[in-house]
Amino acid sequence: MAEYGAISEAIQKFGLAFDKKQIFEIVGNYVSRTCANSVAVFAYPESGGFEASVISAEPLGDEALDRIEDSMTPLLAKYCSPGENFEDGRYPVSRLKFESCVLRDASAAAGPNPRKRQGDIKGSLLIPIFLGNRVYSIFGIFGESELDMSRETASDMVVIGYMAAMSIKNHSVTRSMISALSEAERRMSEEAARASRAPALLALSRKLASQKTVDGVMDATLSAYREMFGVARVAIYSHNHHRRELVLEKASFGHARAAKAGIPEDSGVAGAAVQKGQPYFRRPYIDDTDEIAAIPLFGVSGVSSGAITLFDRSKKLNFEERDFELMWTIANMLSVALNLVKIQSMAESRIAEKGSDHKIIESLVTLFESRSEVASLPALTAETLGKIFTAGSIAAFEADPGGGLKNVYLSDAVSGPSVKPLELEPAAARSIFESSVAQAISGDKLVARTGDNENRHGGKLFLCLPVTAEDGRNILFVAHDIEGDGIAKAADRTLVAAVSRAVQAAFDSSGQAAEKLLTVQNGAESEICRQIQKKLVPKADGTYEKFEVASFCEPSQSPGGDLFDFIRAENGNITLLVADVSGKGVQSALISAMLRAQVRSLIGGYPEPRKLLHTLNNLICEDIDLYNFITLLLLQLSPMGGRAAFCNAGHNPVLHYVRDGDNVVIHESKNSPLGILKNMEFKEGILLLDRGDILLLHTNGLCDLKNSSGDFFGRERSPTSFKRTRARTRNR
Amino acid sequence: MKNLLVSAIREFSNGQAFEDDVTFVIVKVV
Repeated sequence: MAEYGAISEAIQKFGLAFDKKQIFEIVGNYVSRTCANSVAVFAYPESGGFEASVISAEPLGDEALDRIEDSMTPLLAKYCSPGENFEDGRYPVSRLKFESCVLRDASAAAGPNPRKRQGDIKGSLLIPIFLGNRVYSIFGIFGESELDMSRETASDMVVIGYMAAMSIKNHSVTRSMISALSEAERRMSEEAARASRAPALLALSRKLASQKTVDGVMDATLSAYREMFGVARVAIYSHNHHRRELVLEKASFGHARAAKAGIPEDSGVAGAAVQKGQPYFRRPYIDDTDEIAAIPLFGVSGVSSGAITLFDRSKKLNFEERDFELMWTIANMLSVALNLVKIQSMAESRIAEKGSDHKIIESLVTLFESRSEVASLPALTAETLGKIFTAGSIAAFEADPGGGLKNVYLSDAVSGPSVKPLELEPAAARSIFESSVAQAISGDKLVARTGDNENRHGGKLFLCLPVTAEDGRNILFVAHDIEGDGIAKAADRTLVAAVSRAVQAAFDSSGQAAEKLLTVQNGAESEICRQIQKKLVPKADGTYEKFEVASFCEPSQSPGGDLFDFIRAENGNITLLVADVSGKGVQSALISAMLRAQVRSLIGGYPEPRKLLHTLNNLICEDIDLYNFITLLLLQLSPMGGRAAFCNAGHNPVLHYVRDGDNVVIHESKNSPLGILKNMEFKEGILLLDRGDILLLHTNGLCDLKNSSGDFFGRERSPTSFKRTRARTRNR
Repeated sequence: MKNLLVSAIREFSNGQAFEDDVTFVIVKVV
């Protein structure tokens, strides 16, 4: 009855135990009361292995521990997988843990300096405890002498061991559940915060797309960082490669700190991010410093263009890897938006100049048509140039047979049109004028000279334009600008060259002059388009895990709105984009640039191509008048190979050469082009790819080709040609 | 890969100049 009472008491205590130490005390007390001079050892799973706790009021000597280990190892080896719980097939001694429990019977003897039990282990009872169909723990009782234990006592020990194992397991499960619940709660809270970032990111992409200035783009980005990451301060640095400096361009904090002061390109966290080419995070090392994250910025060409730093003194940021990814996405959006603003600004400037070209051309065509009065042509031309360049003074000279120059026209702000000699003061201005004229005449080419010192040269710019008239006369036009604004602006090479060609055309006797002027106009526009398209072509060619990519992008004589983009995500996913914006010219090229920026800003938030196209289509539909429509093919390659997802919005089909079968499969578009109808759903396709398979993506230029009979190449011929290409290259 | 691209351009263009913009992208599974 006494034993039954002890077991009953132990079982009740197990129910009340709230940690392992209490469980071990219950076991230790029961064992020490039942078997005098014995020690309980409990081996149980812990942290992916087994931990053995020696339950004793007194520390055991090394010899005793060795004996315990030697006794338990065979049983642990029998029931537990060596790979799972053992190192080199033996239970490591270091995993034997002494549990200093206050045992009721031994506590008095322990005292302040407990006796260290030495090699007094002679008898042992080892009990494997099964929970379910596997051994959960090993319960051992070790005595200073051979254990003299009745069958009933041994059975009771099994009960105690079983109850202890159950209690430890329950305790372990409860602890895991609490930990899991706590982690889940934390995750849910973080996910809720992160979920709110998706709409913010979309709002940012829209805001960036609508910005017209660099300041606007930077302000929108700074606000987005502050809202999405809860940081106190954000700053944007540009990278000046020439001066090897980082320059603070814009900051969300005080103007004093936002002054444009350069710091060495390798200093601070911004410098560290730029040097490493990846995000850099610094936790505060003293109390009053900020917690800082720095994200590098890259230009479209992949060259470092600066960095963004996020400061927080609350030290609660605790950024994770995916936070950095989002920060980096926003940094890339900033780079693209800045690039887009620059391209837009460049294009607007070019368009404005083209407006000037029109003005010049219209003026000179009028001039050409009224050229019955040949003698007055130089004066009329000079007058026109004076209007175009808004110069301080404009003069026309005619070379005389003696090599001198005779004034035939002079107009300045003081005296108006006349034929009086051009007077230039001071002497330095005269000197630079004469050398410019000599250079223009001897080289028979346009010369534009800018004075590098206004006081010394008396003017900012001379423009000397030599023209040979149809009757052989050499006429030189000279524009001189004291203020510098008019001619300096006009000194842009493209415009000056266009004027030069236009003036010469006006003097040509051929009736083709007007045609030549038109060619000048069209050439300028095509050049603008080419420059824009050239800037947008990505560096895609290369080998990427399971894929090789090769591309060819060629703008035509009259460039249109072709777009090719290559985007490689952090996870290795490759996105290829081929699109064709309807129409031609500057407008189509600009829309291509905007489309590229929109796709790049959206792609991080839309892993499925069809969903990306759905959102993209809605954005495009908002500008339906501007866009007209866009055909687009988006192909997403998984870095593991084997498959590719694609979504085709009215674009040419994907041609898939299947090596196994030597066949070309055509994957036609099942969707309408973008910009037709809002809220359209898009269908997505999956390509199963094997080694040796080839995909061809292309634009309309291919199908628009004609054969010698004038017939279009057409879509239907594409697969045959593709197969023939494959056969030809394979035979090599 | 470049050979394949060049060969495809030759095959498709048949020696003619492209009248419109042209973009070719070839992806090979390796």
